[in-house]
Amino acid sequence: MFQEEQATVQLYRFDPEVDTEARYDEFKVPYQGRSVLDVLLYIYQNLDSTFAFRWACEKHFCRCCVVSVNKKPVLACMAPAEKNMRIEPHPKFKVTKDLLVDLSHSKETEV
Amino acid sequence: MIPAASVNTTATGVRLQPIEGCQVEKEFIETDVLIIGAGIAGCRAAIEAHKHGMEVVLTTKGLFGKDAGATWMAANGYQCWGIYPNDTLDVHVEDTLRCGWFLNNQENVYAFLAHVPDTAIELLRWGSRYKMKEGQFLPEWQLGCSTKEGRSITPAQWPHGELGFNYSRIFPRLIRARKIAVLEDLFIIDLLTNKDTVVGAVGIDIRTGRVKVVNAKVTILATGGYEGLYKVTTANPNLTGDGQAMALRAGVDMIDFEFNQTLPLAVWPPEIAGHGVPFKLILYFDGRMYNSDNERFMAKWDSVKMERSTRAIISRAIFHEIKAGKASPHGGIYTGATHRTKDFIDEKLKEFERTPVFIKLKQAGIDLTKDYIETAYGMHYSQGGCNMNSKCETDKPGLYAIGEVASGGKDGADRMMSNALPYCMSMGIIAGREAARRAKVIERVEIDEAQVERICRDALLPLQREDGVRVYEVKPLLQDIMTRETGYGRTEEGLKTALSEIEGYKEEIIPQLYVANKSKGFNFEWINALEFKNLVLISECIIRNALLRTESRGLHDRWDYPSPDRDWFRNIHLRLADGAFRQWTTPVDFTYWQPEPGSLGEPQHKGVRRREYKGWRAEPLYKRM
Repeated sequence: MFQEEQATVQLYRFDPEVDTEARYDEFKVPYQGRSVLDVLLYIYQNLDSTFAFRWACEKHFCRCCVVSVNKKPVLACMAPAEKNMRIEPHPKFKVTKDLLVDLSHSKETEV
Repeated sequence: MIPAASVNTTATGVRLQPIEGCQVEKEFIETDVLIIGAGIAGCRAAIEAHKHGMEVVLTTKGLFGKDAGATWMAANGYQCWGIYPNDTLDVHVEDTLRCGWFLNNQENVYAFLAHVPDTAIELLRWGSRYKMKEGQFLPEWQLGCSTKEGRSITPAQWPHGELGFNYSRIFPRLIRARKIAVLEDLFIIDLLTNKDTVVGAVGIDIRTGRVKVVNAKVTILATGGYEGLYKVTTANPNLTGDGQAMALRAGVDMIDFEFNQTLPLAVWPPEIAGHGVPFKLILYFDGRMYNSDNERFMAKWDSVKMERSTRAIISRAIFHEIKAGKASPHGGIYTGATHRTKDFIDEKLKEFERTPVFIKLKQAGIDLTKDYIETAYGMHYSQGGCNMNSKCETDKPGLYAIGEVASGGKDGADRMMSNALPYCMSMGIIAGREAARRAKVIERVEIDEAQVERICRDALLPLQREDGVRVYEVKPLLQDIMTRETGYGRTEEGLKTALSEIEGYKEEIIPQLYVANKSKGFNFEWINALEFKNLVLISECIIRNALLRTESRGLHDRWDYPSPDRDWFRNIHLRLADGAFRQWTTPVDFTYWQPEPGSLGEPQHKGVRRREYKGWRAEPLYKRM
């Protein structure tokens, strides 16, 4: 049977109310022809919905899905997924929980 | 506090256990005017109500000015009459009615469009920048406009700057400067009623999982549409018909659910799939559409305007070509501008080539001088919603509706292109003013505590179930049904199948919905599950209305009744009472305009004036700038 190639995703997890330091959860997910947002949604909808992240329009307008992939800040909906990804919160903002950041002071697109 | 252990459910086979820490804490807020939804309509209403001295609370289910809503995604359309002396309010209204197949509520169309020049000046004053020439707006021509100069005011940076982005800078600043309270990440579950009056709303603070109860003298619904019900949409998929569903559960008179607007979207190449490039080609590159027989099929649908017909006609034509087996390899038709010279295309590309979607087009290796884009269509705008009068009042005292959630028959069978934002702005002005007027004279009505408890208990059920069905398993299935059966070419058989499937969702799936994530804060899975309940309710409304309308008109296309019918100059209303739907129809009142003799309302035909509109209208722009 045809098996889609899987990406290895290291997902940043940190809940300031419980954790003292961040940890990384690892997932294997199909990635070819998908965006980073698709990969995150795949994990959220199929593997683990306990991590927090924000998404909305899926077409680069709302600028909510800012994350950092392999240390590079991107909009998850626009960035193509890669074979090895370490997905972390956007470094410019304060982390609220997991990939969620406090965007209330962002003036405009930061990526 | 709600004792979780006392929760009961009628569903069988679902284990229900109280989870520790699942009881909700409640926070009470009192205000004069509560506005649910902070898009352009909600913001404008907040500004107006605040101007009249009201205390205002504005809520949004996402981040203010970022997600939750379609306003911030708007491209460039804003039709505004009065830039040229020959383009009067009456011309704008006639165009709107022709696009709407004369099904519009003419009183509402006049009342809302009468404000539009004022709103344009206001936006300019607030810092929105437009293309200008000699101190006057330089408009662009958009579909449906009958004057050749066009009337759509265009952002100065277009196509590199879009209206939505422009607004996302302006409105948050205006709201903050007025110190209007904005509750972000607040998902409103339901409206609160006391006897028949709407007295506020109850919602979940997504950040903490706590419940917020707002008691307001007047509530304004501005929650947008239900585009999330369809697989492919140009709008924000987190528009899930929350406002429509709340209004339905509160027993409000709803109207026009059979009309869901679509527009042409690319299906191939994959780099631009789902983007509106073909539509841009039609508008700006003089693009043409062909079927697999290399035939310009629009000639059959609108021999005069061809591809520049209305969006309903274009989408329907595409559907019928695909259905007739004249589709491209990836299930679309072909759009291109290959008949134009290379110079023309290069000149146009200079304007567009730096926009994200044209960059993707280039990456896909498309050369517009010789290549075509395969085109289908996708959900764009929902026309079903609350019925309200020209003061934006619904039939429930204390509840106003504005923007996309407010239908009121303003769009008829098909909304004219670029009419949505002007409608939102003027309805915001009207509703803000009327809400303030009402809030000043009425006494506060207490909320019904038992109702709050009931709503919270229902909302908590998916969190408390230990197993069952997850929303992500069933939502794609619902989207499949709706895309398949309630797109174009609807049939009685298909609609009845869909209706019975929806019954199944109501009776079997919803009572088993559970969320795997049990945390209280930032639990989007829980919110998605609650949204799903709203989507199922809206689905039923769409199907029921589509079944009743036995003709094809505008966006409603029945395979078994392919032509418009003279007897169907009627709007379909719908009300949910005691768990059952009641439907009735009302004839369209041709107060000011009627279709040309011999026409059945098709946009190709003009209107005939019956009476002059005597109400207030703004001073036209050419006299003011």
